[in-house]
Amino acid sequence: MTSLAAPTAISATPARAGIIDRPITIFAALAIIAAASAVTQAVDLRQGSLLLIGAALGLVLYHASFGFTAGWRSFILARRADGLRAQMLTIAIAVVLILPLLALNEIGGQKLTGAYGPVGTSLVVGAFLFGLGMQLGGGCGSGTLFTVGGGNLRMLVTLAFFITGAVIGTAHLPWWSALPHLGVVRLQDVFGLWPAVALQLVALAAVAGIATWIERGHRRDAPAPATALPLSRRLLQGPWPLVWGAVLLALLNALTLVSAGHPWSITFAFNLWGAKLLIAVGVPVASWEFWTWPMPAQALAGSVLADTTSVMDFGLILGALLAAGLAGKFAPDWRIPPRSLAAAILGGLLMGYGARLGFGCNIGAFFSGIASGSLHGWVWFAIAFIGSVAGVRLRPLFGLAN
Amino acid sequence: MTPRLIFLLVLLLAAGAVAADHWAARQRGANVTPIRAGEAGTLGRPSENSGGSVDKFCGFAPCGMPLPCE
Repeated sequence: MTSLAAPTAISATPARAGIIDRPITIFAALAIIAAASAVTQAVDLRQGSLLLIGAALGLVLYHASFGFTAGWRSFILARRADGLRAQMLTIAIAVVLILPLLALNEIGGQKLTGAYGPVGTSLVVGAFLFGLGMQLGGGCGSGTLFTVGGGNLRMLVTLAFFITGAVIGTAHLPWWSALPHLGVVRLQDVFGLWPAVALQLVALAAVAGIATWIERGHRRDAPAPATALPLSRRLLQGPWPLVWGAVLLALLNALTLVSAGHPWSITFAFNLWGAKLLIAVGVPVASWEFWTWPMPAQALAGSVLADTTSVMDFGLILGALLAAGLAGKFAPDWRIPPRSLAAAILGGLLMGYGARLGFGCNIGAFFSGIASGSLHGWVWFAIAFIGSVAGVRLRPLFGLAN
Repeated sequence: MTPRLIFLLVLLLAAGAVAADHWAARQRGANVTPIRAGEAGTLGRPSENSGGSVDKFCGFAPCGMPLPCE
């Protein structure tokens, strides 16, 4: 399987690609160790281990260049299906691992819950906005974090406005969620556990098969040649084949479920960070309806280190920084063209707002939602893809290369 | 100042903000019980509390959205 380059995502000007950037590598490794120790000290060992799982996710995402955004864009524009196939593979493995685990309800005293969301108006609007925003912002939930960790300063702007959009979304979610919806639909409740697993595997295979069929009818370019790097060096420095990334991301998502009690998710942390910043400048966020709901209220009142999603996001950024150091590709560049900056701002806002309305991003809703048997994950995928088609068409207006 | 230093400075600022938030939470006496599914506070109880515009709920999606009871 060829590597899927994401030119707008990973730092485009690697200073010394292929040579380990020792200062950055050492800094990142020490930062991961220090952060995991601090979280363990402040909360508990399991929370510290979640930071390490996040770091592993960041390293895998970076080394495999596992970008949902670039994969979709590549298919929309060039009918290259390798990214989509890898996404279907990682979700398929996660379905086989996560759905049976959820059926246990708890493991080792840890209660387990899936990534569920109601199917309705809010989801459709949110997923469309997210799909549109991810093409303008240059990365999705996971993509934004791992490219920030990799040193992409433009994506730092996207992240800042992702957070802004998410916290605005919390102000409006109660209104949106009161619009017509079918409620939460869990396929395992409708069909039973194993039929639901089988049905989802068939559906994922069908998506991969259709994408491959379309690719064969359109593809003109030859596949990229395989790298000649020795395996040991490739393991350490990348690039990894997408299929390695697919397998490892699914395993790490299942590990997240048994450690955190819920599958991998990203954007709840963005709400929380934004809300805490607003409180710091005197905005009475705690009185907003969303923040009076028990879980958000508890998160807002407590330490950010108590929130599993935040801790994993911190780890993800540091893991990507480590990977960028190992790959010798850490080369932040602050020269951002104004139109590209505008796209980063707009894309970030749309993704943040869309993630809140859509009950998750490409990870919480798409990856973990489908792996949890939640119908909202499938609806999210379909609608966000349509939004991405629109987003890809808008990219040239912002001077972004297609 | 090089972009590398700016980037690392941003990371350090973020780390400082996290540390300040944690310190402030401790000063307020807020607990640092990890917020994990089914562990802290009311999260584990499949109760029928008020969930704002969602009248009844029996748990939470990871985004914090109350899930209605079956």
